[in-house]
Amino acid sequence: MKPESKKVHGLDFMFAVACYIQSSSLLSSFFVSITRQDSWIIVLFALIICCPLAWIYARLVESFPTKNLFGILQTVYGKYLGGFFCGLYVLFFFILTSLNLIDLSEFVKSTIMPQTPLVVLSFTFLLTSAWAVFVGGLRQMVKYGFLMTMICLLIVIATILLSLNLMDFENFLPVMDLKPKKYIQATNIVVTIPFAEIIIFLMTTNHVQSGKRGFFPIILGGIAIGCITILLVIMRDITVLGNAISLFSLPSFETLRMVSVTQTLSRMEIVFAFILIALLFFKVTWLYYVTVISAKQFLRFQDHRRLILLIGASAITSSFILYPNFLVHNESGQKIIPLVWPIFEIILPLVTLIIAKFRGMTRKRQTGSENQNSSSASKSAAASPSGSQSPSGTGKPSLPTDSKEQSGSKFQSNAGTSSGTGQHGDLRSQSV
Amino acid sequence: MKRKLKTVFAMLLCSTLLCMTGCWDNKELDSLSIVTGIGIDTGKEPGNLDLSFQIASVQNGSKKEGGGGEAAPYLIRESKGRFVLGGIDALRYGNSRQLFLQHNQVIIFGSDVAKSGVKPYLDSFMRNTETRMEVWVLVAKNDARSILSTKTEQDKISSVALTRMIMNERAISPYSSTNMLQFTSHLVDRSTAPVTLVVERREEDGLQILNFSGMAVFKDDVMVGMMDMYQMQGYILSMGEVNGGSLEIVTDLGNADLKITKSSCKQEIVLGDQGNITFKLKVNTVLAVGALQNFRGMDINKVISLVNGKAKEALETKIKACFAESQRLQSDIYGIGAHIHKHHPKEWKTMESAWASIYPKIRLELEVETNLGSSGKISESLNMREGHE
Amino acid sequence: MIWDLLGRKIGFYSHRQSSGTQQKNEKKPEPEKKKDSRDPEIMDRLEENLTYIENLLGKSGDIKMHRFRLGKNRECPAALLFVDGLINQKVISDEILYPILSMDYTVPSSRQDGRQRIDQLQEKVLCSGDTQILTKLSQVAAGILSGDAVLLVEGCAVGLSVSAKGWEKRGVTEPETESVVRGPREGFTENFRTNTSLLRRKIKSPSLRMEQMTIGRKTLTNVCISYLEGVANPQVVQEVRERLSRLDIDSVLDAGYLEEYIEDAPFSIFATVGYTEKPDVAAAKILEGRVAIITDGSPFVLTAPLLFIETFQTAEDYYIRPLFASLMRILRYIAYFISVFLPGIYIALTTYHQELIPTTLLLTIASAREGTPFPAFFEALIMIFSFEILREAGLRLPRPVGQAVSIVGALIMGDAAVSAGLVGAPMVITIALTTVSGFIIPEQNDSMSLLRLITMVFAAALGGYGICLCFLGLLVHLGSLSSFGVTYFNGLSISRDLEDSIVRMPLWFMTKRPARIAKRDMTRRKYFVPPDPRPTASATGGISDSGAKGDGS
Repeated sequence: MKPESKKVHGLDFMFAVACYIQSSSLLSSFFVSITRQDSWIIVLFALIICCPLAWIYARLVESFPTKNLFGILQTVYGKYLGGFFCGLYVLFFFILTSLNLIDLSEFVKSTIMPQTPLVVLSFTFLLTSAWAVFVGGLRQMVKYGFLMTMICLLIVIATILLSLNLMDFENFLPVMDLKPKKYIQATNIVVTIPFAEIIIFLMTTNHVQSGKRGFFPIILGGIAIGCITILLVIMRDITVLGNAISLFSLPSFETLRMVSVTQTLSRMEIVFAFILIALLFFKVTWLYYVTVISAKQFLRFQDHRRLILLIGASAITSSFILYPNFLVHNESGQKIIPLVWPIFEIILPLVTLIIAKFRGMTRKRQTGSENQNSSSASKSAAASPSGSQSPSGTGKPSLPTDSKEQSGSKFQSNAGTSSGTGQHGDLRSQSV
Repeated sequence: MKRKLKTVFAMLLCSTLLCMTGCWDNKELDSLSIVTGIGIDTGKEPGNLDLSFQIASVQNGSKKEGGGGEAAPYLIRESKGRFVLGGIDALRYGNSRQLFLQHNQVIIFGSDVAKSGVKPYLDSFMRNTETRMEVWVLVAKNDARSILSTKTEQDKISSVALTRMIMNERAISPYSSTNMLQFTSHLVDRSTAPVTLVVERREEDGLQILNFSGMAVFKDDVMVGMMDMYQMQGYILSMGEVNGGSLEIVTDLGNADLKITKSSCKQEIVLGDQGNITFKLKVNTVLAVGALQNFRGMDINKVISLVNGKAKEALETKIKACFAESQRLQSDIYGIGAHIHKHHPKEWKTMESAWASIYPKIRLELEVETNLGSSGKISESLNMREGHE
Repeated sequence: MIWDLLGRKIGFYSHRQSSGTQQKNEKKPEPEKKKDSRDPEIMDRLEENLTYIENLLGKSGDIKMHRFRLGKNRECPAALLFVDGLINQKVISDEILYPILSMDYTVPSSRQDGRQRIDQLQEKVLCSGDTQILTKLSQVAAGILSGDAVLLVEGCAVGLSVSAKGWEKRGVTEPETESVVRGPREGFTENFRTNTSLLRRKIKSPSLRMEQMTIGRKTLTNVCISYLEGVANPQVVQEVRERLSRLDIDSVLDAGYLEEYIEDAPFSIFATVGYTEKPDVAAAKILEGRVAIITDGSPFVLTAPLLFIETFQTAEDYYIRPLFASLMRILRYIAYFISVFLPGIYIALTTYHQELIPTTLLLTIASAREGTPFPAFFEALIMIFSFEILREAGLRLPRPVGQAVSIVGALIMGDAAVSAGLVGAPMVITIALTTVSGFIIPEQNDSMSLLRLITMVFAAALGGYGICLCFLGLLVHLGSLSSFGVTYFNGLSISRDLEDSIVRMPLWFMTKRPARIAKRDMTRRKYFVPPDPRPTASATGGISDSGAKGDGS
């Protein structure tokens, strides 16, 4: 069953974004070790910075409603330069996947399975993830977003309540005591590592039904929910751990270790470890999925499933090659990554948007839709029932692979084996 | 057909993977020695440590009921080594089961070890993933081993009993007891001095009893002194909320035993112009009468106001004694330095290096307010009523 | 352009689908051929017809060919064919034989005349409401085998089948699988007509459809697709129809046969077709836009599509008050979790994560484990298998013996195993709790037993991490399933449409049908009308409104 057979609801997409950011709350040590008790301010800074960023992403997506990131790049930069950028992005997604994979394995190893070899952990994990990518697809991936987001929020609030007696609000003091450079550095880390990574979602936006208000509220909403979660987590950790927070490589886990409901139920951290693993699973699977489909698009494969195991195997391999140990990883998380990632996450989208505006491409969708009207009006109407109302109505996909997917999905709905919706029923009656 | 073969092959591969993996972290319960307490003493040879591990011994529940022979609830294993890890390792070769430190309840430092500095030992405990951060840190009045080998009555395992005792103590005030996290947090602070409870073993009527005898005061990681219960009460009263404790008042007219029902404290630190620091304490204590003796022929209201006044004095002396002691030891157990760091970060930078010398010069401004409210179930002392009639 | 797209679609389509359509195309011409060679029409001569039928059906004792003569002078031979036991003797004698024997009749002069005679018989003489003119001998055979009486008259090239069905059947009784404390107690029976009538009585709306078809080459079982026109998603209905008509099987003895042939994921541990034994449940599902499949001879009615959350809903949820119903439903989810994961968690805790057990509890468990010979995983496996064996034994045995078996097995064996030191007491408690909570959700019982084993294996191999992987794998699997085009995991996974999933909102709150299944006529009642004790005009209006919409609940 083709995953892209149906458009994803904007709200679900928002929760997927939120969940993706939430899952990064584990990695707070990257910047907490720099700014210590002021880390919560950093998160707020990052949220403010993310507002224009979300706007850039939203504008970019809305300008080319039928294309994903690669389609946009190729339209704006032409075949060769665009292809070059696409290749870079594939590499970027791939490295992100392996980094998160190694993060997860390290986490599991250091918390619950101290003696198990890392390769076993990452292999079993990626196998599960590969299964999810294989059977699922965008709709399946998005589906868990809401569930996970809610569970995560619930857990965070529960732990805050439980650790209320351990909290010392004096721990926030002194406020803004460090050098300004550190704040900039930490903000950069926060923005690049969890927040702006949502650029991976641009690979799938052409299958998202944004609704009347466009993508900006969706993306920003997702970021805001994720950000609030991270903020809560950071504040909880700071108040509980105090200035010892910079000592631990996994501050939130250390906090949760302190939580005790009563004397007999004092060791609850494994529950939280499970939640974190589940969240990271969501994240890694998303990254994996995006890597696979982007590689498919880049290498012009017919079926992305053929790439799953290949990419998975190389992700595991590279996760062991990239960094010799966790300390180096942490170090690069603080120093190298914040300098390199923004190129992909901020600069390239911004430049693309400006060039697109400059070349007058942002208005292209109207002429584009006129072209299609002659060809398959019924199809675009069916693909997006809200197309008439929404400014970002979908049209005909430009890339050959895309159109094939679409047509494949259409046929599926004809046979009725795929999700049978009223819209596709209409489509059937019109096209036959 | 080929696809089917492929899937079957993949499934086989996965299952073998699963079967292969079940070795690394697998440890059956009956292959573990559950350590409930660790004691660290100095060894006879200089530079060596005497480590004692209290291991809970388990018997099969179904068989135990029949057998009359009461086995010891725990056993003590000892090992020697230069480092903590070395000691644990040494024991690994001499024990049929793997040492399991995750359920360790207490780490008890013998007073000799505490006096020479505990940092290296704490470091090795913290690095070890098996140690949990909420392990209680205690200092034994003499040696740690005797504490662990005490035969306590109700909770058979002495370290479990100690944990219970600490929990009771914490219900009164959480400031005197310290777990690993708080201890290290204070060490990282570098200005606040950690304190821990001091435990001692006493013999009463042939029964062995564990007892908290006071509070160990550290400076950095070195124990510089011990405060007795009297000073300790002053300390907890000046730290914040206290929900219990008693106060004995001895006057010429009669004696009173007062219960502290609730006490709150407001700390304020004022930096003067010339770098002189004033530590302002505002203690507000609600007391209740536990027992009154004598006060023959006196009106109850008079007695109350008299006792109230006396109580105020007593509290003041307690708090002052504690503060003076801490100044004498040059250890900032109140966290004044940390407070300055948080609220006046700029000034702190100049003080930080010389904090040990600044601390004894801090002036204490104490304001105690006592409120003797409830007088218990009976309003007047039994003796007083006699006096009236 | 559209044709081009269609062409590409076909190219994209999988092999299975194309071969399926081919088969269909081949099948069509076949029956036409049969007609000529092997399916003769009814002949004029009565005896020839009877010989043919006799040859066709063989010498079966229960097939009666009652020969008699019509007319005043008894000159016209005729025969009434029926299967003894399938017909009602009273109908045969009172409504068929008595009227035709007492009327005037002569041998028809021509073929045309014979046809008219039979028409006359049908229209004027017979006292039956369900008659049918037959022209083929195969129809005659099929008719008598399904319980009709067929009248053949000399000189007439047509037969007259009269419905006289009447066989022994079980009355409508309380179902044993879904017993309720509150709510209707009637259950479906093995009788096809009774079942359809039970449904009709629940939903009197004219838009309730009952599409009938015959499946099974040998059993010729009646199967009926029932749905609400205008509420059910036409695509789902079409899908059910197609899957059923695609069936080319020998026999259908129970609804389970059909289920296995039409379900979406045959190798999944989760069923994707639901079943119920209660008409009220079936009606409620039809009202939510589902399709019910009634099979002759089975008291179980299949419902499709099935969602994961549906198995956690019971009929009683809707008959008791919402707060308690919600509590019970949450309890069911917890029980499901316990039943699937508890043995795994126990294994993981005792062999991998001893640090997570509270100290005092650990000491207790450790002392129970002391001296038991097997590792925790095998201990659990032994216990699970012995419990499953006991359950199965108790299920198949006659009820009084079955109870004795479970008592002997559960109490005595469990106790003996513990006191002999073979297994630890905590393990027995764990497994007992697991199996008992498995019974809370009977529809998922089989999937739970399998999942439990899987989680145990994972827990034994990878500890808590394994359980976590297992949980994630379960989520992935659930998310990838779909039932008749509807995502199986709907209702738990999407941020909308949550009124009736984890909790049950009050009935007056659920103004819309669940969007996960129905696609049309979504409104159950127009307004959000909470119960109002004051008699006002609007309240009565609301009630009549909901009545008109055919709200069965």
